[in-house]
Amino acid sequence: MKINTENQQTELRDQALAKCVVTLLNEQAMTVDSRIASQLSYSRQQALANMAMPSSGITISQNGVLRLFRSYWHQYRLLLTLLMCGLGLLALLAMQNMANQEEAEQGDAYLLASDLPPEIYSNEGFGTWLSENTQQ
Amino acid sequence: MATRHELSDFLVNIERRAFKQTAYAVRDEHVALDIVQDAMMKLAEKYADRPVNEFPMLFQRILQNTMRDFWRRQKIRNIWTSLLSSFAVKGDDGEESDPLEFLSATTLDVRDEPEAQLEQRQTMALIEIALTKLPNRQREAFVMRYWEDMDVAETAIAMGCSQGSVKTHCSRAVRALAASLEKHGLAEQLLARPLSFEKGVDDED
Repeated sequence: MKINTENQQTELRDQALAKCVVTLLNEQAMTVDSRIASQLSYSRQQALANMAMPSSGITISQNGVLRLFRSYWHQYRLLLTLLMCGLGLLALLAMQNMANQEEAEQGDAYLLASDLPPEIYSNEGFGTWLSENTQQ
Repeated sequence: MATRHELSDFLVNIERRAFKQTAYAVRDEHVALDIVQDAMMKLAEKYADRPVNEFPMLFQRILQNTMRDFWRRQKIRNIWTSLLSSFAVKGDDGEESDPLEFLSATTLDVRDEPEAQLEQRQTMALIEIALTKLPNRQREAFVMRYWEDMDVAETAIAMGCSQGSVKTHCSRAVRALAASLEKHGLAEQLLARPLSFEKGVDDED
């Protein structure tokens, strides 16, 4: 019981001390030097100018750089992700293309090396004859 | 939706405190200015259509996230720097900067100041050092709860944690600050000091 009361007193004292600290910090914050104050003011103006930015896609930023589609181009993470996806897709297509080419080459080589003429494989009757003979 | 005038008023009201809070966290005035500017820009660009009463919480959240981004970049840069510097010869210039040096350089310039002001500046320097020594989460909780006068729920949303965690962080931060001030015999002196204006915390805990 006594310990609880002591703890509560310490907590209350700490809270009062924290309020004193905050008062001092507030006083200190109000006395930042003029250079910082002017830079903060400039930043605020910039932010407010951004708030009033037109909704059209093309604008000219503070540095005179043309900004297309507002600031979406500045979202490098999104661009990087899209770029990586695009590269992945290209790599997949290239691999598929190579695999198909290899299969076609193997097919051609088999047909050319065969004793039978290549035209016979497109004949429907040959397929039937081949299956019947294989069963026998 | 907030008007341009309301947003401007909010930014005027918060900009200096935000700068100081950021400076305590990142220990560099230029970086702190950049971070505050980024946070202002993001608030104005993305959340200007929100009601004014949501601004403090939104701004604090943006500010803390921007600071985290800075620390992340700093961490990556430090990895590269330490990798590259292992090839270089170590000299005096390679030493890490001491936060106490930054604070003493910015707050203890007391030439030609009266004794009382000197005392206050020294007290402030001690408070600032104690604040910079706090772990990040504790400092964030202290700043939002006490300095920004946000309630536990708002602080929890801004910090992205539970209300219980906010209370724990706050209590630990206040205890650490009090212990630091007691160590230098400043606690009683501060408590005896008349408050010029009170911006306390609601008695909801």
